[in-house]
Amino acid sequence: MARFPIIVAALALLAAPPAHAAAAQFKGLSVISKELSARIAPEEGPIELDRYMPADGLDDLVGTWAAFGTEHKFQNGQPNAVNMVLLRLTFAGFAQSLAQSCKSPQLLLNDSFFDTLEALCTWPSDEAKNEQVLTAFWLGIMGYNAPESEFAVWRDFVLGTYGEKPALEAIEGMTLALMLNPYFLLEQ
Amino acid sequence: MRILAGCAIIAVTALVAAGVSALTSNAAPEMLAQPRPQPAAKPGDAIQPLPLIRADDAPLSAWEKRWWIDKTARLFRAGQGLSPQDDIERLSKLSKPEIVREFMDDPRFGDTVLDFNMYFLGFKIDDLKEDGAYAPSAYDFPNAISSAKALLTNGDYLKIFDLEGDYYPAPLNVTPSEEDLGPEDAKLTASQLREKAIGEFQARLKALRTLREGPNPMPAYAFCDKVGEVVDQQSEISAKLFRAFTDAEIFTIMRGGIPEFVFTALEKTVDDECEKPEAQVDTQRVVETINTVSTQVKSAFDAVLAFEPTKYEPSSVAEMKPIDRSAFPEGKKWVAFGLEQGTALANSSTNYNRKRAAYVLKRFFCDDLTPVGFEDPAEHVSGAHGSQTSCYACHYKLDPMAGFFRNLGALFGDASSTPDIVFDDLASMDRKTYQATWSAPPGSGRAWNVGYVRSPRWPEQNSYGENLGDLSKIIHEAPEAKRCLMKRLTEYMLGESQTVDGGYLDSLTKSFEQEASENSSVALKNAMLRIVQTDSFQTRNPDPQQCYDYAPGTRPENRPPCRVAYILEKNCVSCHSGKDFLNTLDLSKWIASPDGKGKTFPHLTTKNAQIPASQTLEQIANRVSSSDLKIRMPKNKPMSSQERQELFLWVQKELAKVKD
Ligand code: HEC
Ligand code: HEC
Repeated sequence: MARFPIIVAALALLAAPPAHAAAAQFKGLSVISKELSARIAPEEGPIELDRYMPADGLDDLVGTWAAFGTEHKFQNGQPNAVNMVLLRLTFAGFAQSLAQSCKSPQLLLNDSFFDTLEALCTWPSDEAKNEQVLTAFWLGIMGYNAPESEFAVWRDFVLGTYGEKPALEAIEGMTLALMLNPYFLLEQ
Repeated sequence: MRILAGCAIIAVTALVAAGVSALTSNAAPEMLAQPRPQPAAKPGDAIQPLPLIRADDAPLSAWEKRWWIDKTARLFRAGQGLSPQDDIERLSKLSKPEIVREFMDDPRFGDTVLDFNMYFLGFKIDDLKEDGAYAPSAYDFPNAISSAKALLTNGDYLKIFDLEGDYYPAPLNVTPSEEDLGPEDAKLTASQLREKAIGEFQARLKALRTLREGPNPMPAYAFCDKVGEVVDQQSEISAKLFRAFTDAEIFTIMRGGIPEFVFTALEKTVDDECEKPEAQVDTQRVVETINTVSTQVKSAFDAVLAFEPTKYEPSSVAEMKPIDRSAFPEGKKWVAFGLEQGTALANSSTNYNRKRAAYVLKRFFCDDLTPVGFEDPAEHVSGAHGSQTSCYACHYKLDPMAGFFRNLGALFGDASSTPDIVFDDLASMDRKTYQATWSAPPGSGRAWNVGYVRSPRWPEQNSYGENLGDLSKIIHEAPEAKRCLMKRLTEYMLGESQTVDGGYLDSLTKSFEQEASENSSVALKNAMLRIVQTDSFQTRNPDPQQCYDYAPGTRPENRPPCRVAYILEKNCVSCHSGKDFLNTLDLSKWIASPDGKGKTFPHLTTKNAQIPASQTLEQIANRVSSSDLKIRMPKNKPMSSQERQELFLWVQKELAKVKD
């Protein structure tokens, strides 16, 4: 956990928020889970990120359709200190699970993402740092949500910060960096 | 009037209604002097439809095309973007319309349409499905389901506008919801418990019948007492039956008239027969009634049990099936408002269905009831209603809309044949007295003051009706409803905060209307195809304040801000542009304000000096929201309430900006 401040500082550089981030809302955990599941999970075992929330019922606080007056409205989607912290904790939990998967299975993953992770687990080997592996990992988590230029920034950040770190720490860090990217988080 | 005596609204309504009748019945001389409105605004004549395939659609880079494909996949496959099963290489080579068609053929597209329909109705949820099965609320909006199903077979998508129709119950519960079940019941599965509870209910009826069977039938009066006992125990017997069902299931069963119908029928025969001298009691008739209700109960529960989860577990919208309404005593007209709407849109003895009316105006007509005045119809009568006008600004349309629901009691249950109407707060009232609120004034040519009222002054613009069937028809025919549907579709696809030019929206609506006159499902799919080709959809991080797409042939330079530019063009510019007689105020342009505070419309004093933005804006706000016809703009012309509200809200926002 002591790493957090470093990652956050790095993120500030890494991901210049989209120009109109002020108006943009979080997608909400259920939308993100569905997106992520399509990319990295097998059809029969979708990923449910709310599992990683610090407590039950908190997913209401990070963007959700809920009753409001007589109708439903998307609520708590506006980024604020509370939901930002909650999302970070949730994603940290997921990133840790993903990294731990190098040692023992933690998550149901589809074949193609499993192969990518397997290659990354050999970090800091050259095989793991291969451009193709990093691209596949980026696309697995982020999809095409971000412009191509964002990938290059992330890759350089990962190679620089985690170049010589052990696999678990590196994978956790690079996953979290990806998930806290506004292009991943925000409705656009 | 009894209950609301003292309520200003009713008094105002009566007063104004009198004014309206004066207008329609005998041409009041004062009125002849008033310029008549233009023939009921026929928007659309000058509006150009949009091409289906954009000719000027700039090609995307390889990466950005994949982004577009992924985004489109998510949209059309209920949140599921590209996965390793998709051949992205192959997809990238297809044209955008080809890709869209392919995604629309995916069974998940049905979920997208259902999700959008629920959004349109104001009840979107995060996940239609939980662990592969549809969430209970996904079943709660029958018109959303009918319409989504229709779309998949190119049927009538506009069933979304039907307020009566089929009903689609969820599979019956797998675990009984009641917590304090008896020890015997607790051992049963949900399905066994249902069988038991239904069996007991039927046995109760059968036991009655057997009293009159065999060589020694029970004497008439004693038999009457036994039947009367059952009627008296209505609530105990119902509760016992319902212990096997969830709230949603009970709601469905009761909507169909079970078990209420049984007790009503029995009570009626008992009343008819058992008051007579014993020798004249027609016990055969009582027995026949018992037989009839028993048969009805059997057919109703057969229909319910067709939803046993072992037999029914839909995995797509296409597989959702309606309940057999004909098996129910009250199956003919099944209201489209489900349990959640029933609860959220509760009526009370003082609310007079206004909550429901506000809901319909907002969801089907995109009218948010921002008070922006009204065309005062009673001005020439006495100018009497001064302080009440502020109420009337909403209630002139709210109250007549509420009248469509006058026969529906608690949870939208049908009360048209009961002497009293029972409200959701469980208060009740004599139904005739209650309904008199909506009686039309004599001479109006209508029985009811019920309808979609666009203008209290110009009744020929309004659509009057009597019942929910009429309201559905009015929604189907109203241009406002189709435009509202297109507006919500852009919100759903582009994000709620994205500003969309009104002219673009009108063109989109025009295309939709033209195509929907042949096939509304094709029309909706085409609208979706048009929207994924917009620049708004294809721009990363679009600025929510900016418009990216315009009606064909529109040049956006020098235009006022896009949220209102089109509204001004449509309603004001014919009189207020540089060329015309009113060249002091030009609502077609947008220039720097002389006081340096932002931008404003060219607006000159008699001495040719530019007026500060705040004054111009204040005048516009006043001109748009005043009920005084001498002041109200557009001068002697109708303007849609939706556009008036939008313009008014924008002016308020601009005013706040220049003032600080
Ligand atoms: C901005 C629009 C608007 C204006 C102006 C307005 N109303 Fe209403 N009124 C509504 C709506 C919408 C409802 C239904 C609210 C609900 O039940 O959710 C309503 C409900 C009511 C009810 C029923 C309340 C209940 O549930 O028992 C009364 C009575 C009423 N209004 C009177 C008035 C009076 C008197 C005025 C003027 C002082 C007024 N209204 C002005 C929109 C308006
Ligand atoms: C049919 C012609 C016509 C249309 C359409 C029209 N106006 Fe006017 N407007 C007038 C006339 C005539 C006057 C001046 C007479 C008066 O004061 O009523 C005027 C005056 C005004 C004024 C006061 C200007 C001043 O300098 O005093 C404002 C503000 C205004 N209109 C706004 C609007 C807006 C906003 C719209 C569209 C919603 C609109 N008008 C549509 C005819 C029109």
